[in-house]
Amino acid sequence: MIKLVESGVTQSIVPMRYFAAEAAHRDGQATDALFLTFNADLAFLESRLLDLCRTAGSRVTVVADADVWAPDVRCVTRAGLRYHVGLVATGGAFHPKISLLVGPKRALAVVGSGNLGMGGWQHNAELATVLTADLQAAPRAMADLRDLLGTLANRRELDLTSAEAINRVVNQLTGLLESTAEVVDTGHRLAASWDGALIEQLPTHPVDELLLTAAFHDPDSAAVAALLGRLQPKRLQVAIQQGWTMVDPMALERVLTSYATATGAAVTVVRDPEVRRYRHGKLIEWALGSSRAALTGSPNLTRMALLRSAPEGNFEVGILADLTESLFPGGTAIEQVAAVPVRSTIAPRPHAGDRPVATSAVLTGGNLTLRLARVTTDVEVQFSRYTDPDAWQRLVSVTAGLGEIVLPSDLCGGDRLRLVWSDEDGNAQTSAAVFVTDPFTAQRRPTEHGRPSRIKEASPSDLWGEDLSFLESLLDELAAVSAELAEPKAPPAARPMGAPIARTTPETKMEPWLWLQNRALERLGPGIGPYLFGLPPLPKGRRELTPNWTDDQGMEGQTDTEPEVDQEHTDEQNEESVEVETAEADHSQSWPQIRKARRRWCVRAAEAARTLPAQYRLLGTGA
Amino acid sequence: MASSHVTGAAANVTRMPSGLIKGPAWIAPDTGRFVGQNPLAVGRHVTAQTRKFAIAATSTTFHARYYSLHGLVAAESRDRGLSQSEQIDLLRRCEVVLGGISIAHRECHPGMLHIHGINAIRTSLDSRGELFLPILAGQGAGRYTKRRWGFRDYYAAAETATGLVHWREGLLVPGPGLNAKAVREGLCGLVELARHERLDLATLQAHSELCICRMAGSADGRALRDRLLAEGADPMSWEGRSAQTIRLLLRLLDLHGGGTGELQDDLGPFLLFDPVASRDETLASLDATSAWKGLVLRDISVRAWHRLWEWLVDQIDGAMPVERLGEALADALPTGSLARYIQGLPERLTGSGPDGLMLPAEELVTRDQGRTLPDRCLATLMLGAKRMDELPTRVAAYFEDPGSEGRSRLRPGWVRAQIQEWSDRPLREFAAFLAAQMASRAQQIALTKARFNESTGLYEVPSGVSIHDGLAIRDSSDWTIDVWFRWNAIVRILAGVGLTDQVDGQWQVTEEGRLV
Repeated sequence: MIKLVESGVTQSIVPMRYFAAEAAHRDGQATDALFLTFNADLAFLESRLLDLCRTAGSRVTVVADADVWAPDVRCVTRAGLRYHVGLVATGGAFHPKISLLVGPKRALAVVGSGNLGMGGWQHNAELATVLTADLQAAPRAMADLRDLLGTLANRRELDLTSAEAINRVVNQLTGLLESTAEVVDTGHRLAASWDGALIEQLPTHPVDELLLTAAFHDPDSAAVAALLGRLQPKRLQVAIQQGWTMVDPMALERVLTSYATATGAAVTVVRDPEVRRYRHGKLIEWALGSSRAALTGSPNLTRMALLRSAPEGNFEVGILADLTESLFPGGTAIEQVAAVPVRSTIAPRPHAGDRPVATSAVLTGGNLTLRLARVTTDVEVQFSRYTDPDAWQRLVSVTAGLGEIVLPSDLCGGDRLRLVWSDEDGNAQTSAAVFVTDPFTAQRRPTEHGRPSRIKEASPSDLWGEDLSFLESLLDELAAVSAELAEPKAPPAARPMGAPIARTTPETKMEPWLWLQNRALERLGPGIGPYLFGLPPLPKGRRELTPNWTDDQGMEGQTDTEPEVDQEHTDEQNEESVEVETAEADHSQSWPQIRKARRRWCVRAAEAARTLPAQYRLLGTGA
Repeated sequence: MASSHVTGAAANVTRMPSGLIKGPAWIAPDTGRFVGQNPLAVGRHVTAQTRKFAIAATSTTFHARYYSLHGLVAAESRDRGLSQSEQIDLLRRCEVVLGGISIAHRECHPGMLHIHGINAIRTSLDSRGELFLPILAGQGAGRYTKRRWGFRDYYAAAETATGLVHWREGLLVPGPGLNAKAVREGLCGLVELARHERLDLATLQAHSELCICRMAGSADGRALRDRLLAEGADPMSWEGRSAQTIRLLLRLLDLHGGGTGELQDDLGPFLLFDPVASRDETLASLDATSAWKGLVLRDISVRAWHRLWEWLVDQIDGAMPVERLGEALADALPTGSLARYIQGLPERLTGSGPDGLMLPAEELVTRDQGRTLPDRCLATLMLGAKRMDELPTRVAAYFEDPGSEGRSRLRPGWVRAQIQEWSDRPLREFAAFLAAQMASRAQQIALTKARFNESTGLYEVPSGVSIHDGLAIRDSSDWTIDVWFRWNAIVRILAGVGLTDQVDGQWQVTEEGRLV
């Protein structure tokens, strides 16, 4: 793991940098990437993270909450094919936010408040802690993480594929912690609500100061009241982000006034100075004397998050740490708390928690294992093929009460399933779609695939994605071609009269050139071959990952290309806006390491081309 | 203290070395936004096709004579074996001289005042009474443009597409469509003038035949006109498509009695709905007519999506639950089922079969002030989708292109499929669905457009509306730009070669233009 000397709370965290740094090692040591999240934006995962993880060598698994699961299927092209998604349907919410990338040499974990999505990774004001470990040293908190994952993997709420992925992570962390030269206690501790209510992790003695901020409060501010009862602060500040924080101001004021009246404590509600960025981070910070510490992570200031353990409460993960300076956003005191415009318009989903849901769908052999939850009424399972996200057909009917069904199926990875049923009023209701996982492609490490077969399975989007192992595989394949050509050929054996000639030339009347080209296509597979030769796509056995139903059709390689407008008033002041004809291909969406690697690959490919037969030297003419 | 609070660890706890753990800390501020344009990206098909048919000019090509100038520089450079720096110097000097002559002669062409580099060149003429070429054409202070290749970039796309000038190994070279002899004849003396260090006003005025307004009657003007009209070209070739578009524009402009402002706003509906245009034999004989009809019709849907999205974005005050977007749209629409709503839309055709003419149903709903803006937009989109089955094959092929658009959302074909799916259900529910689809598509497009910033390690995403954590969050107004057909740009270039003219702000076809 690259050591990033970025300690200290005043420096902000860029979670993506850590994943890019791991991918930049180019040794493919990582075995598993695991994302535990409440909301999951798979479009974000696929466009920004997935290839980094796979370049690092890992399988990818996402475990998310079933009740807020609402993927836009047109933005998801690789679920079930390159990664697995498992959903958790529970009494509370599945709410942890942990992103992990682990291997035998290095491990990385981001524990925080941000969900898997642009909001959680960049747009919002989120709190995060990054743990890194390698063979030289590992933080003790990594052992905490290993332990809480170990208990999570045994929860019955998880599907088998997700549980296996978590267990692999646990084993990998165990191995790394045993191998590392030193386990360092940094003072950080991790705790999970499935091992006990998180409030139990907090001090039981009075503190001087308590500082609170979270995106969500209880309607009756019960969690704040419980925190006051436990920590008994002499001073209290609660930050509210105007227009954003989900809180009942009157309930909060009631709790705070009651506490202040009873204890004489100084109690203040402040207006968060951040007005544009959604503060989604959760902070319970306390001070005693000159020391300061905090609980951060996933729990909001709610009963379900803090006061209860899962599954009666939410699945949450918090991290406790000493602080060198406060993380509290501060702000100006609010005189009339009840008058502060806050967010109270988002009611919990009316049917969350009582609707039938499919939580995973996995192919095993010729069978489909479909895991269900809350099937309190008869439902119909419908499927849509990968190739058509809008065309839903009946698969099977399921009677109320079933939790899992196994049935023979010709579905493939990437196909979708949903449940359809009638509500009490006879109206048709549908669940969100889940993606069928093909473990052969979704739960195998990129490096486990034989390299020739890997390139044979690849599509053009794979080749120019950020998973550079596809480019490596292509180069390996070309090197193999060169090596075969260079091998000394045994003289042909004497052929008995009338014996058939070994087929080294086309049997048909096909042009020799076409025959050679076909051989090359066979070697490179139906996805890459035609693309590189500039030929129409061929039918292929496995899934094509460049579907025609996404919204970014025709946008590959383009940035913010827009229609022209009449620049009647164009002058020298805005000359720079004119596009020049010699513009280079756009790689602006890629990390610098990826760009450098691609350039290096091009140099090597050009070098390798000198030893290739003619038909291979034409590769790229169509790309 | 804190460690005992947090961990209960003993006093010999190893303190945190740098690197093992970072945080807890706030993640980096998301400061990298750039101005987002067309977040729905629904105009790509029309834009792409427009660029296949209208290649003779772009938004930055103002004067036909620069086509000749760049051709002359390419030919001269080739003949003299100039290096890149020498070619750049020649090009810049020629552009300065052409600009100087045109400014000196500007009173004779009040409609062609936008001369490239006018600020610096006019300043030089006004203050010094002459052009001092080493400074003006140089790359330092006082230069006529900071662009190294002068204004060639403004013309590059059109000059390349028309085969006049190509780019090869870092140099401009004559293209197969360049009539070098005619260019040399038409711009005779320009290169010689460009060699001077100083050119006074009298000298510039004495060479008014090189002015941008004098091209039509010159050899280079005739050559360019021939090139643009491409007599006998295959209609499906680029020359043919471009030439047919030019002929279509000239005919439309003539039938319409001229045009002002954005020509596509007047001539487009005229082409689609006016019986005069529909029955015109000249237009009917052009293959490009069907294509442009399809594109104009599609553009109506594109604009409806733009206006609808703008309206939706306006409903967001900072942040709003995504579901509320749909509710807001539903509140602005009538009650009843989708089928009933569609039944209430105006007639789309008069008659039936091949003789049926399109009626301006879209114009009627757009002008219907009894409808809310979202209602007008939705009605337009429904009309577009319903027209899919009524269009002649060639028009339909340009109305929607499965090849480039695939089966993405918000196409007319997608809308048509949704009509079938939602027909019997309440319009309110359909509105909620539609709003969610638009929001999802906008998010997908924004992710696709995001670009990486090396210095921050963050992705810069287009500003506008972002959707995360169940909220639609607006950080600026989205900027939608309607598709520009380049019709004004083409008509402007045609004026340079004498086929159109601008009189009192109105574009008209010249007598010569009527003859093509």
